Amino acid sequence: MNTLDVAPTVMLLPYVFIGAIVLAVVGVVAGIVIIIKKRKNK
Amino acid sequence: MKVMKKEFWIPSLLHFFVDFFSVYVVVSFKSLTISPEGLALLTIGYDALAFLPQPVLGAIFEKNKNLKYLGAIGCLFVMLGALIPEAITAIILLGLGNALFHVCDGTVILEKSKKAAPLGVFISFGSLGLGLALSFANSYMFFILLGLFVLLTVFSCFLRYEKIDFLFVPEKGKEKSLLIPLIFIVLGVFLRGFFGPYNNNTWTSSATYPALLTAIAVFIGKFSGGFVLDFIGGLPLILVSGVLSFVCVFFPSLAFVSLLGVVGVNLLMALTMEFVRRAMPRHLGFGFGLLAAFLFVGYIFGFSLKSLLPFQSYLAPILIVVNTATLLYCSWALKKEARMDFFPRKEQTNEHS
Repeated sequence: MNTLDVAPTVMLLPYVFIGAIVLAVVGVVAGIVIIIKKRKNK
Repeated sequence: MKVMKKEFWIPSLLHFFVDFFSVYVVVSFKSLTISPEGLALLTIGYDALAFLPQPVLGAIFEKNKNLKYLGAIGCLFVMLGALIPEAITAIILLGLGNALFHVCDGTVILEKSKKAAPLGVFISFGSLGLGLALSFANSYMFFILLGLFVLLTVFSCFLRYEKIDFLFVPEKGKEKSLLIPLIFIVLGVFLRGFFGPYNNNTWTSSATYPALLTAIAVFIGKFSGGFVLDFIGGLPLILVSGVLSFVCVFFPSLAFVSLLGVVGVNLLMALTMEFVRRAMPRHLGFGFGLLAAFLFVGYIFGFSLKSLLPFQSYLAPILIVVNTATLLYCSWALKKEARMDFFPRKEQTNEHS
């Protein structure tokens, strides 16, 4: 496939996917940190 | 005991309105003078805000005693987002309101539902709202539904969950979260998100309202999945769903068969929620958020792969088998830990009044 034929939005999708994974992992880590902190505060 | 009570119906109906207004507004941006790239970014931005913060919000609010009020605040954000004519502000309100509603009301349902049926019913109504919003645009419908949404949100603040004689709390020795089954549950949800966009359904090009038909199939699958789980148990449900979705994926040009496959895949929704509350019984909000976040990641993965590379017809059947295998493993792992049986018993829940 010629990349020039692909709309710019579509070309952004791999970055969107990587961004979504990174944000999901950040969310999970942040969630775990919050749970651990709450447990320590008890 | 009645399985479905008004305490479960009201959040389920609110889920319909939350998803309807969120998607309706995002779709209506097409009528504004926004470039296709800008429109795509707004849509992805909304989805990211609606799904990805859910694990954090779940961890923050899961022990909160005012979840129904927090859920209502989420609904209020969605109402404001639906009325504000500025795209970016609307997206932020819709996305964060959606995330807050899902986590708070989802956690309440996970906590207060003895059976699996209400879990599936709660999730199912969102797809109906989404299908309706994608298929119709009418200002009368918009304002009538908005009025009903306001009334139902106010009503939800007066629900008395403490009246329900059940609270999902783990038995002694079963409080620990099970990491490996959790990873597989999340993988299963990721794959289910992937199947949504990654298909070659050719019937949609000739059908009237294909989005609505698909949404109805998703709704039927999610709605009935919990009842089926309560009736036949986890193991038979995984097998029925696996066979149904595997066979139907080979007939993308036949609308009925293809939609039957969609029903098959979505039968697993309530089971996944049941798995997560048994694998992570002390962190129901965080567990619910995990499912939502990775459903979105799977969706984006499927969408990216389909948009960028030629469609590979072998991939979906292989991944359906992988999905079935991961859920069979989860079912076995939870049985090994004596947290869930393959088949329903009269009283198999970890219930404590």
